Amino acid sequence: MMLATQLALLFSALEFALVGAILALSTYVTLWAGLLSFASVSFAATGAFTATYLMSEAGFGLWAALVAGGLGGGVLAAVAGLLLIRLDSHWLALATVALILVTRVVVVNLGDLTGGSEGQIVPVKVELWQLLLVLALVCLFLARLARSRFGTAAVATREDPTAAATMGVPVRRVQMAAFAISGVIGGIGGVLQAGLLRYIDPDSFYIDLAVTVIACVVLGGAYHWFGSVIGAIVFTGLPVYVNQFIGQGQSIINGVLLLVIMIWVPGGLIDPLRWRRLRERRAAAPPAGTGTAREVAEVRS
Amino acid sequence: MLFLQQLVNGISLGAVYALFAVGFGVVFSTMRILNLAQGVYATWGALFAYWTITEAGLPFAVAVLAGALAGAVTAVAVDQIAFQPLRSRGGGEQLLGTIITSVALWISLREAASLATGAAPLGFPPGTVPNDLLQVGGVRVLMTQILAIVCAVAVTAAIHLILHRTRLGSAIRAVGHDRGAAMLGGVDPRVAILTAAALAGAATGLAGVFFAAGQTFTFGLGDGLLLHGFAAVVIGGMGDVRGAAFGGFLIGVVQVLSAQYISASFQDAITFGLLLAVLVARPRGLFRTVELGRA
Repeated sequence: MMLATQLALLFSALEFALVGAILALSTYVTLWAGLLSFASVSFAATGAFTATYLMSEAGFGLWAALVAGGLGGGVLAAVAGLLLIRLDSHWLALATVALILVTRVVVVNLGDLTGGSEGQIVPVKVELWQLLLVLALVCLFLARLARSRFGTAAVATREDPTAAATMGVPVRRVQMAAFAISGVIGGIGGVLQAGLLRYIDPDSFYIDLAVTVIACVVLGGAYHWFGSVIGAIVFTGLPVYVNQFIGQGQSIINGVLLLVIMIWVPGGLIDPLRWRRLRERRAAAPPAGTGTAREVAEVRS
Repeated sequence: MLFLQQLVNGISLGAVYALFAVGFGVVFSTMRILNLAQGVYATWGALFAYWTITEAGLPFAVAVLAGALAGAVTAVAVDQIAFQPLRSRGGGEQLLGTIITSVALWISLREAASLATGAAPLGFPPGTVPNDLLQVGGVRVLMTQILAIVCAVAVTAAIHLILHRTRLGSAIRAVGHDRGAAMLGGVDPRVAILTAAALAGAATGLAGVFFAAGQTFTFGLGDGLLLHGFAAVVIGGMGDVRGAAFGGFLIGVVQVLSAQYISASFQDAITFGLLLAVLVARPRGLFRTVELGRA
């Protein structure tokens, strides 16, 4: 009996980690192109509320809802991106926080479509295998993207936009594309989150989630897409399971964990540069030094 | 008359935002830190003010000072725990690092506040806050509202004078402009940074106390203040505390008037829509008095 509850908890933790990973990957894509954006949560909200409306009013199944949600998130991202990505780093971060706030107000005030502040029940349940499949597809897509021209251009843009522009990289177009892809993945993540929670209200997609999502990316490592997956397991999956032992105060542990990582492992858990340095040290090669900026850019792709 | 009344209410709410925004502006212009943990300075300022009154039985004036002090101590602690390690490592773009460590401190200190209060709503006991009502030609003003406005104006002026008229202020601005060059010029960056953090924390702590004085509050007090303070800072411009203070007053007035004349449920949409509009149209704030770019 105990074992059964433990297993159920473990599965539930895994489900939350998988959805968290998809949302984190959405944020990762923007960081890839050097944009610090909190907007994944807005994209997720758009996807979730679009999909829930279509599932309960138009009888959409999960897969159709995922497509609709991805489209919804992508459209919002494209519109927001056109306005926002020309902002400098700090201001873009602020603007995306503002976008989350505006999204929440819109959700609250579109009561007919979204259930308003009371929220609404999500009619379709997501199964574990569906989550796994979607996450696998997203990872596959990102892995291929990393090896494409876009991936190289995105890394160049992140490391030094001015140099990238001189080399003929269309910096704004790359950032715009990254924002739009982030929107689609975020929208899909929002639909899955809704299917997992079975009940969504405006607070399901708010600052708390935005903070968790960005923490996942940084914790795992913002220099490889796999880092976001690891970060999500630690930061969204683990708490669901560990909560039974700790209860109150879980957030403090999350905060301290994040602080420790940032101070001692600034590149996150999955940091290609650090792994390479460790490998080299183990191979007892002559001291590698810190490497040139170019090397850094190459390895962190 | 209703308009005048609401204008006064808006200005006094704006005073709270202004105090917060001034603190935020000081940290941003000296350290280039987008500090998401700043909201909890206000929470802890309000909590210590609350405890000063309820546990120690001291008058409101002492509580206000205690709140400012608690804010300053929290700010210095956060700076030393979260930002100092990143600074000492130095090098390159620290944007993501500082944002994330400030998020970490935000989460931790917010949860600590939740544990300390049992997540229960609190309120200053009746009679402890000077809530006398003044009638000025039909407009009713609370004593705390006047105090908040006076305090906001005084703090803004004081911080502006400190930054622009004293040696220490010059040092703070020099460190913000170019840390290495400031050190060559004989400035101790640690003193400058700690002073800036303490000033910011004290202003934010005051914002927390005055925000809490008018209503019941919870450990989440700082979150709302953070978001509106952000809006104020962005609209007013981060480079100058006067701009930030103006942004705070503007946000307060816009909020109260839009709740009165348009719709209470849309007041946040209007505030943050205004924020987005300003960001898109004038990415450096309405007052482009000081260029923030590194030389």
